[in-house]
Amino acid sequence: MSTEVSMERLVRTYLAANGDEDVQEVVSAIESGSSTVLLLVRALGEPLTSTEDAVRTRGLNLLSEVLTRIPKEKLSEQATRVLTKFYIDKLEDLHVIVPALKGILSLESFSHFGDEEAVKVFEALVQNIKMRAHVQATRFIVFMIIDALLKHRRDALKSLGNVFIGGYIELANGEKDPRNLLQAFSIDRVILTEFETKSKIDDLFDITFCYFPISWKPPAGDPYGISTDDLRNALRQCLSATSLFGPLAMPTFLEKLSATVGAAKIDTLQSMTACFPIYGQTALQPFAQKTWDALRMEIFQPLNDETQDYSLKTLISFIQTSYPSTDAQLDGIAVEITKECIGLLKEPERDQAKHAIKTLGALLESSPAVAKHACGQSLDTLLRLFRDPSAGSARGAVMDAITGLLSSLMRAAADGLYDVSEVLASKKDELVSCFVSSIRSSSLRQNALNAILEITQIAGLITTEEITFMCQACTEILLEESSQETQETLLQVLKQFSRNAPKALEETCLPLLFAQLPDEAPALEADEKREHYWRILSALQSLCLEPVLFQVLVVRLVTKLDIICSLKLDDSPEALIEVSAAYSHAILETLRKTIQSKIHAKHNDFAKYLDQLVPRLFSIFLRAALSPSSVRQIPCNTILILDASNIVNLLTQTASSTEQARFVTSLFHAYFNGTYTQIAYDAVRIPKDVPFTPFATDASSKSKDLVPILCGAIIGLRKEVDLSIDIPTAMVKRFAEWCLSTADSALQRDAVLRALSTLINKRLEDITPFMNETLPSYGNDVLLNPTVSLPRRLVCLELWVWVGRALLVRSDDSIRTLVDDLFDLFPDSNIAYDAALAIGRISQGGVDVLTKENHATIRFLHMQKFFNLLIPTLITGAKDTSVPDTTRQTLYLAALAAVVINIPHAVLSQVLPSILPLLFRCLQLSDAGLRANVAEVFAAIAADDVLASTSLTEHSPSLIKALLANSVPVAGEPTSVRLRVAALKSLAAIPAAIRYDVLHPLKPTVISQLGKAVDDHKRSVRKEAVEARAKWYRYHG
Amino acid sequence: MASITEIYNANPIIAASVNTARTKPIRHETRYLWSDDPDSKGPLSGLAGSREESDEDSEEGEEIDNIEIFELLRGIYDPEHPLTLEQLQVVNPSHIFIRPPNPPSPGAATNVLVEFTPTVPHCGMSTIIGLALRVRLLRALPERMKVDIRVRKGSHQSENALNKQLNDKERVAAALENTALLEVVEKCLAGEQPTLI
Repeated sequence: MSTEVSMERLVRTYLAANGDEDVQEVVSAIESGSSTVLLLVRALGEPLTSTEDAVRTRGLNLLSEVLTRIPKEKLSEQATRVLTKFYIDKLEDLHVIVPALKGILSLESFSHFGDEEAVKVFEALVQNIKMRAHVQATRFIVFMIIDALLKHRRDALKSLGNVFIGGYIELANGEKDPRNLLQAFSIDRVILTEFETKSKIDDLFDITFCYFPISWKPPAGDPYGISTDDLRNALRQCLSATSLFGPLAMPTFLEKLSATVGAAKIDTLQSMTACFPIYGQTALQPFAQKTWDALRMEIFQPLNDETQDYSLKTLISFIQTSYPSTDAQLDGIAVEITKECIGLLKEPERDQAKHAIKTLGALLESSPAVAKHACGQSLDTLLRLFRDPSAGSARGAVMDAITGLLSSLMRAAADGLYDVSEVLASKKDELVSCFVSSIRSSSLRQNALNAILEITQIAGLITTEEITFMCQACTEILLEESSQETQETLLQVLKQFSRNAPKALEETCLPLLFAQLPDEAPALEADEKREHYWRILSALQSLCLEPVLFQVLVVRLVTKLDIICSLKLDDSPEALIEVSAAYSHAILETLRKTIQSKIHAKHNDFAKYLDQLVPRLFSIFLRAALSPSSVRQIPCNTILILDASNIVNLLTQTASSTEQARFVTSLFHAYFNGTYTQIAYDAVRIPKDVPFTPFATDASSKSKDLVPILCGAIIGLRKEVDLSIDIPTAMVKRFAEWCLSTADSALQRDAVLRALSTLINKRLEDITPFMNETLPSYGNDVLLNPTVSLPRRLVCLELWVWVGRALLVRSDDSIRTLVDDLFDLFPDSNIAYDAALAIGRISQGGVDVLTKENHATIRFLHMQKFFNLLIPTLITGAKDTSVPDTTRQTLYLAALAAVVINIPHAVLSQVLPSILPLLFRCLQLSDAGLRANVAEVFAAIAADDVLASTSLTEHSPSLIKALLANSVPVAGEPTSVRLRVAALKSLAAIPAAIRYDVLHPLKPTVISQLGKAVDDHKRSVRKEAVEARAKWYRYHG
Repeated sequence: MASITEIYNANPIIAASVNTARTKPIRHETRYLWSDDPDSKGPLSGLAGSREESDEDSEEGEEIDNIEIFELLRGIYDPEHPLTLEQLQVVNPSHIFIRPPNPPSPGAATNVLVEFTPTVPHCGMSTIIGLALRVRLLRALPERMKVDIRVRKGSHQSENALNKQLNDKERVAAALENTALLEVVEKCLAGEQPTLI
């Protein structure tokens, strides 16, 4: 008895307070079993019969709300039935309809809600709800209820037959709100696919096609999160749900297609494409001619390329549906379309012929029977036209037309629509011989090459012998062709051959190319010969990616390199050494770029080259470095050494840990113990009189120059690889010491600093003594010590940059100390400016050294973290007026300008308000490079419309003046192409980002000032100026 | 909006794009000895001192030539087709002539002559095309360059009248006062197909 009382009390409390916690109390009471839903209904007896509308509403609200929250098993079969009946009655009361609907919606999900209830609910909805009288939210609940009923009680509704469909149509008719429509469309789709709809199809057609095509656009700010495309797709699902729509829909489609433009037209085309296969042949048949007439309009007089593309897709769907079988006697519309298009091919260079080819291409991608017919007819016509002696200048256009067809055939083959090889079998020989004879004529070459490129991509069509034949012809032409564009196409074709039949290339093409490479470098004046070897090498580079071809490339090029580098140069002029070195450089770069492309293409045949390629290269360099002769030798050229080290780096990167460990151990033995036999090929040829000790203080410059090769390997090492001869901290210290005292060129130093940086980055845990003791002592004794010579301090500054980068990339906190050391240099005018720039260099991060490829430790969002640390210091420094001298502020501005270009966009938008005034001051720094940084940042900001309009609008007039001042050279002020280009790019981006009324007083000034910029003496600057000026001319209110 | 319903040439011939990539000048300088490709990459490649950057900003000028003017014009859209003037071969680099002042003096005008070829001799769009060319060059060339726009000899039935119209300052200015006309020209310049019909 007490429970009943408590329920009544709870109900009273709720009615008085209407609070959520009161609902929750009722729910807990029912959940705990101390009360039941029926008791709640009884307790609600009085409120629910109250004469006050508000009281009844609130009472029913409580019940509905409770139903949504209690566990689904809390309602017995009996109770469910009673409640259903109860709610259905309530639907008659207009004032409580909303809570009643909500109650029904949750009731529906209870386990005992059965078929009988479903039918009753549906009937009551139809009977009592006049949809047009209710607001969107209420109608939405009705749709939700029907959707839920369809989901759980579909069979019960099916048994209602036309009563259900008729009732639903009445409810859904006239709905306009996009939120409700999305729901309605998903219901429509279920009805159309699952229900017997034949007798009601007209009405269903009316309530779906009346929305087509959707022209609704979401209001600004999109409060519902519904896009036009959401609605379009949902509606399309309905339109294509049943074949019964076919006869009704076709006239509608055709009418809408001619009446719409833009997105609505594309929607129509897409819907047609989707619906045709469902509607089927019979439905399409009566409308075939009209459909083609409509599509012809869109294809031959296209509004734009996009509409044409979609129309062609519709045509494919149309033909596929109209000609389902493969061997039928062909007649009707497809024959007519083919004939019409072939008629237009008679003048192949005209606009309409291009459209005709696209149309024929669509037929080739449709059903097999039509494709065979169209392919035979059109190729016959085109080949006849091509053979016609009077064709003359039209041949190129004919060839292009054939290419267009081949590319459709290639797609048909790739999609497996039919056996393309079989269809083309009778034409193949003639096509191939026509192409090969055409590439020999310079006027048709480009067109024929495009055709070959397409035909070889048709899977399974061209045999290896045919490829060999074409390959031979293409190679011969490659050697004599001068047009760059044609050469590129030739290489593309040969590259395609190399994938299909590498052997053909190895046998025909490569020997011819290698034979073109001279054994001696051409003389300095022989520019054409030099151009020639560049061309051959770049061809080889793009062709030799396949493993078997790459193997040939490596062997041939290294042999060539060995020959060039072994030249006796005793009394040769300096120029000969230089041209030979340049030739060697080109060869090494070819190897490197080929490896790079292979890595990019995810090849994995590199392992053996650590043993095959590296020892041969190493040996070439070592022979020269240890030669007792004082004559300069080609391999001593540092550019070549760097080339080699880049190759070593790439090969190391890709190796496994075990291979790396073995390889780097033999390198260490060579560099630190002088035992190089393991790593040098043909070691007997290396002079024995001089030991190889590059890290010794008394080592010759020539041997020290070989250090970068070792560095290349170290940079690519994986973290877990053991350094074998040294513990990491000793190795790092040895390198740092060597940089500061022994190295005698910037090149040697920088290579070692890069290696050192990667070691610090990967092995930070293992080098605590270096970080805690050695580095601070360098700081105090060298970097911050004004009595030490400036060059030595600058080397130390460089060390700071590289250690800084290593720490930045892994987000290590100790970077703070390091950067503070650099700020501490600001009072020392000798080194202050270098220190400011060094901060900028650190902020570049890992550049191309500390990369994922080199297995560096890279933390997520490391840049963000670094800049959050750095920017406040820079702001404080640049605003600090406690020192009367402005040099200090300028240093902070310079540092800001140096780092700003590296700030990630996300961070930039956060800090922009606080640094914007400083950036304006940065545009007046004397260093043109720093100003260019800032101008580039402004270009990036202006390109982001939202960021620009929020942050720049207020200051835009002064920004524009500053940018204009930097966009033309001013006598006596340093400038650069990069600065002017960046300033002009920012100016060009502004009209799109800033409202016209803010800037209109400046328009004449900008246009007149840009009139000077279009007369810049550099072409690249003029191009930007023209672009910017055109944008400003078009800037209107 | 002017309503022009007649299509003057419904099926024009389309030309392939002209390749205007400049062949690299061959010079006996170090960089051309060392590489034909300025952007070589690698973790150690920056070390040898960047050979390219140093002469990027050399004071050596690059004069405006006919190719550059052609590049300014090639992307303009035909008022009648969704095609560019280049595709329709209305403009052509070999029909652009530049005559620097003789003797060379800094203030003197350089003369530019642009000849264009209407797709059909009765093309009624020629004035709009000519106007578009003029507006583009007015905006994109420095003031010291004086531009003449003419139809190619023999390519249009009312050649003389057209040439007179296109080079008459006042008539050009008056045409640009006409907002409807200017809008069409702006659309041609912006690379959009103007809606004439």
